[in-house]
Amino acid sequence: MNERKTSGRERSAFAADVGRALAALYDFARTLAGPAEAEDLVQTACLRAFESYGRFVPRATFRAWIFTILKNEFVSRHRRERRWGELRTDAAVELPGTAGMEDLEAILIEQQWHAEVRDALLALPEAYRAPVYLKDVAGFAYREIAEIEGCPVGTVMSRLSRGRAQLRRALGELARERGLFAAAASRRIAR
Amino acid sequence: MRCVEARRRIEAYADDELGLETTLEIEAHLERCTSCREIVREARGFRRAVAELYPRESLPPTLEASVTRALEGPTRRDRLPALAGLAVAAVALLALLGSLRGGLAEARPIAVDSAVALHEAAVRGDLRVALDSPSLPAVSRWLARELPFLTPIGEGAPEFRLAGASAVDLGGERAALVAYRREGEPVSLFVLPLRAWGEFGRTVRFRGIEFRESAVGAHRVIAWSHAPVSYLLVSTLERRAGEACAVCHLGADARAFADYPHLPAARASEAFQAPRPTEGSS
Repeated sequence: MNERKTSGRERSAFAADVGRALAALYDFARTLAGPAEAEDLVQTACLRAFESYGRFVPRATFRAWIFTILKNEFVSRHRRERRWGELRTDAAVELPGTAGMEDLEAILIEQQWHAEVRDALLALPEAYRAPVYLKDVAGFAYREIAEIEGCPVGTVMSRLSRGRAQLRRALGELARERGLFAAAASRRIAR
Repeated sequence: MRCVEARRRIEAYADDELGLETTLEIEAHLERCTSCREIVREARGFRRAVAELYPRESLPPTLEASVTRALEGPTRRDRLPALAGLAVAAVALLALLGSLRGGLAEARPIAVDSAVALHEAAVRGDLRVALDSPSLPAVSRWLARELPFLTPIGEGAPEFRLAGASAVDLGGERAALVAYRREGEPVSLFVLPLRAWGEFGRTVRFRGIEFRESAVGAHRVIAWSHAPVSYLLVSTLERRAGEACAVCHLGADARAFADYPHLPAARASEAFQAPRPTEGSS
């Protein structure tokens, strides 16, 4: 491992970078694990990042880099666990259409479905959940997501597409169950 | 471009992830196609809804403190300077992390201040460029010789008139200044061998590129990177970052970037001083 010491100026720069990323990093960790493990993951990621900071050459951004470190830490901790029945993301899945859900976005906002959106996103299979979270919540670019997830950009794009479709469907189902589409439609007719 | 082709890329388009040329092709298609437009509208609406509604976890108050503790732990001894230095470092780190809640002043890179100073000289008429020429081939040849790290400068939109180029020093880094004039005002494009900018000013993502925008005195600074080089555009007029692309990309005109969020005209904390009244905004 590189024996170059982190200089004082690098330490300040690191503290500033980490401080800015901390809340987002914790939120990301919480999509992977419960509060206690998430805190632990964040601490470990910060420590690892600090060790390597002198060699940090950003291909993307500091934020993407430290997210990558955290994700790698999570994966290596859980590598031994066998997750049976894991989703095969390369399998062709016939998904029902999303026709008749044009009002969904308006309904989501009107109803202020914070918890519903979060629950639905976290309920997605991990392979889909991560790209959707990293893109739509954390705002990373495709190539940054590819770095964090350790997969090609093409894979990111296809998982993102399916993940979003599944999320939309799940929220649409919920809206339908609560009769919100019918209500929205009759409002449209009334106008 | 037909619907079939557009739809293959439409998600990436809605995510602002496509390159400039493809984006413009799709936008040309969208002007003619209502159903594809509707797909984009819905896609963006859904992303926006998720982004707005998703509740972020609040940072546990103990976490910042425990991160600091972890960083100053005994196993770090061999990587930090001697014991006295260790104490100083830990205190500094703690102080810095603690001050961040109150808002850390953005550390503007020295290169940006140097660039603005050079631009100001250009505005005053005090700047003499090494190569005074409106010829793109001549400027490109000169830059390739003097600053070999540069990628060739592309031909930009006609309203940016090339005026010349110079090798400059930006905070210790040898860089290129490519001088333009737009509506009679100097516009300075700096190119540096820097892989990426640190965070400063306001960060805006547009078409898959991260722009840093900042007002420095009376000037607007826009910074972005395309590894292995970084760019800095300094101008005195109100400018949208999207128009930065028009400096070197022919075919990119102001209308194509009309949806780009307009920069706020003035923020009290930045004490924006306009040098003279501008004739409306473009």
